[in-house]
Amino acid sequence: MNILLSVFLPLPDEKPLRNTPLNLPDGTTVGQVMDQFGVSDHRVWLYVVNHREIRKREDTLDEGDHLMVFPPMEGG
Amino acid sequence: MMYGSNGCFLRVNLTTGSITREAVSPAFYRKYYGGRGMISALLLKELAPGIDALGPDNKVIFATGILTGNPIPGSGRHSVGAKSPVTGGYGDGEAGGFWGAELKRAGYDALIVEGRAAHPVYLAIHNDTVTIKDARHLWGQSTADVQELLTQAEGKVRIAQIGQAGENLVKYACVVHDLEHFVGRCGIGAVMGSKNLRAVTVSGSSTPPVHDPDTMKSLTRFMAQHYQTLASNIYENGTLMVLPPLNAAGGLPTRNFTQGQFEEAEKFFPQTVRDAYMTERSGCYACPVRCGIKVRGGGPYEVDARYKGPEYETVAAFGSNLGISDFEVIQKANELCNAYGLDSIATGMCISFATEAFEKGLISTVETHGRQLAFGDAICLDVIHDIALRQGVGEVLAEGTRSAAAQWGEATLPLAVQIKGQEMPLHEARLKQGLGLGYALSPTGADHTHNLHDTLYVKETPAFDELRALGYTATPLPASTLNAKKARLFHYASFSRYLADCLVTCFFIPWTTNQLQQLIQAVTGWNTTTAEMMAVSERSIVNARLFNLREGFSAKDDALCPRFLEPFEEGPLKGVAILQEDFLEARSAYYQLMGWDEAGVPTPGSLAKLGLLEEEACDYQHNEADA
Repeated sequence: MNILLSVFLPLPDEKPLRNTPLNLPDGTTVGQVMDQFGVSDHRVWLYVVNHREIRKREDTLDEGDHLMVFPPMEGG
Repeated sequence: MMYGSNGCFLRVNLTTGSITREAVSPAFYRKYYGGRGMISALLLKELAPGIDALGPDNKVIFATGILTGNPIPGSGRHSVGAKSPVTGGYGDGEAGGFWGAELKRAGYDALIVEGRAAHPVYLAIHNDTVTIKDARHLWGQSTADVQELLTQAEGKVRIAQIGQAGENLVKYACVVHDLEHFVGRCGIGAVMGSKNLRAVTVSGSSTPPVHDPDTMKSLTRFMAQHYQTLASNIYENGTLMVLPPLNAAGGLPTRNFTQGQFEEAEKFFPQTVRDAYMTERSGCYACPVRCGIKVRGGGPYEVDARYKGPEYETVAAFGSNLGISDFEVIQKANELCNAYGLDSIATGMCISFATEAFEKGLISTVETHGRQLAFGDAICLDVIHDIALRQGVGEVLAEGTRSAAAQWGEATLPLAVQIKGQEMPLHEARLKQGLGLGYALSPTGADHTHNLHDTLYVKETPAFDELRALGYTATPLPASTLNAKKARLFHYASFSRYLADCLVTCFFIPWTTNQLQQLIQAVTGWNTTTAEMMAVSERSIVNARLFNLREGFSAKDDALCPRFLEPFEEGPLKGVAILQEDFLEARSAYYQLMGWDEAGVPTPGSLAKLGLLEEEACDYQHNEADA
């Protein structure tokens, strides 16, 4: 399946992920994608799919999903 | 020798025309640092209780901080304060930009304006030359036109001004700096208008000496090299960075806070906006981040390119909060607020209040003077004109929702999303319940800046390291809870925020407490400690509290508005509300942590600890001399 990934927190290799296309096996979970990029759960506030659906790390992704990952944040 | 400060305040009395420079003791700076610290001490000392906020006895104070004027990222801010016509209590706000650094370069750490001019004037400050000048030709003009006229008249200067909203004493008129930076809250622009003071121009040529320039440069070099990583989100997305996660979490204020998720929020996502409308970045003195944007218009809503583009608060106020999905309408609303000198938060909230009341049939076209208000309708642009010019429905809305609800009937009161008369900023207290506690406890009413944003503390992040540096020992807490533990988190987080407002530094530059301590030491030469820094912060909280108590405020004013006690009917936070008993428990815990009694009054012991019992607590030992 194909998804898009955007991660709004610094990554180990410091390359930003924004609308990055990924080809993944069916049934891949949010946590498996995060493990691939070295993003541990304690750095994340929200995993959001398709702009408004909040997911947990164990939830599976579907074809065409856009997964956005946000750190704890304030302000605005 | 004094490092980091000029040791001088400038005082101008517009009634008598007197202009004086006053020497300030080093001890005053060490006790209050600047910004909110200085302003709260000075207003408490100099204003008589019960004065009319829009009368000549009120004073407008522009204050820099001990770091201002140096090339330190995040230090390009200053505060402006007065007794607030919005709340009737202590008022201040901070703005970024270049104006504060320029005042420091002109030789002044603060400007105090008193009295009332007989006709419109502006104040021109060029180093030692300070002149009160005729501004009758500026009255009634847009802020952009006045910016151009004053630049032609005064040369390369920085300009703080009000717009027609301030002239017309709209309660939430703001102070506009170089068209891009705003002291939006508390109605300080109306206070300037009440004094017939349209603008203050300033230019200067030197900064005070720094004690240890090498250490200061080393720290600023570190931030310049690392800000793209340390502040990556604000650098990339500006303040709109918060909008996508808030919407997903169900905490994006929508249709006057009746909902928490907006169906077309994607149109306001930061990259969508930047790709479609950004023409250039915009920033502040000595800051490499440049988080603001300038924008182009589109469709039927061309915008004046002289104004800056909207920040998160304005996008949410005129977007989701009014049910509007057309970003070009939001840009136009932003331009109008900037041109008139209106607080865009309060303006959006007043219109959403009236719209909800109209749609629910609680008011009719009689009250709206024919305006057919509707969520999602660009009629909000017409109402902005009404408010700024105090015409039609704007005459009532110019006084704020608390006053409007009093006129329009008790049934509209729950629709007024305000605290102490201050309209709600666009941060949902049912999502961030510690923020709700902070709204209730703030001396300036509903204010998100010196507050706890619970969503930063839901996981073990570096933000906890900063709180631990202040003595905090607890662990992450869920955002949508309120209890004594959350009060303790708010207590520490707000200390950190108030400290930034005393230094007048920007929250978006991630200086650690340790780095700030080193910066203070490098600039001033003081061998300061974290405990001393926190005492400065606490004095600013307590002095503002004392000011409000003297004005008749009490614990009953530390209250939530009804909307946050109503559960959401849908969305991710369906069923979530703040429980009144949780709120009261948290408020009581906060009073105890501050050393205040059950009525929220600082005890003599807590005042003594801060050195605020002495008769001269707010004195700054000045010697008057003609400027």
